[in-house]
Amino acid sequence: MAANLVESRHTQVILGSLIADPRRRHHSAEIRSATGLGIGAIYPVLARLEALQWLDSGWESPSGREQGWPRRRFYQLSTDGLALARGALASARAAPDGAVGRLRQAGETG
Amino acid sequence: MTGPRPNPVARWLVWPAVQVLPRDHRDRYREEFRTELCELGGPGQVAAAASLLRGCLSLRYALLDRRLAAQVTARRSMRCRLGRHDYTGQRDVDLDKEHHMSYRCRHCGRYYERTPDEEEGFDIETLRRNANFFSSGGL
Repeated sequence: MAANLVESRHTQVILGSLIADPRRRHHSAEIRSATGLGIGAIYPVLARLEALQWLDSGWESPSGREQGWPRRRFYQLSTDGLALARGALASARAAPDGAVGRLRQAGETG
Repeated sequence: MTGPRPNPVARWLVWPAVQVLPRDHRDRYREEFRTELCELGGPGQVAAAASLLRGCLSLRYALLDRRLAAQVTARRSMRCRLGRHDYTGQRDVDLDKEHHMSYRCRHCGRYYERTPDEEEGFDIETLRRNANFFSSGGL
């Protein structure tokens, strides 16, 4: 399941942006600008990564924003999530891309 | 509600995007979406709201996906919780790392980045078994 998730290009891009600075807490607007993905594509990936416990999330403190502004939610790779994400990304990059890659691999072994 | 609000068109688009989500997640995402839209200008708000509307079903499926929770439960076996992972080795395809092996727990999928003998309690039998497997042309 996690392997299928990491095969998705959106997941790879998002994990790449989170891994670039794993100790920092990122909010969704930062992830959006770093990845160039539409905001509607980011939330499903973040929700799946959170369900897998690769990501921790939490609201910013009320004092962190101007009065009246809605709170932002921060996302950060968990300790386990960082190790798992690095490994999964390395495997995904090493794997042949898509159907053409799989056919080429089948041709080489067959 | 005080503070900045998204424009009416954006709010009109986001309302159904929130309603399709599971009930116990709506408050959280309503607030997240509002924050997201408030940080954008007027036309950007409408485009972002449309993007949220397009992605709302995918988000719903992600929130309801029981396989993810099941995987976490499976991954958290007692052995793994105690740090006694059962690593198996696999050859790394990265050509820059000649003869590099990566190790992954068979139960929880955790990768180990250092050499396995650095970890306390590493199962030497697993390492020996894998060495035999690779030397016999297992891959």
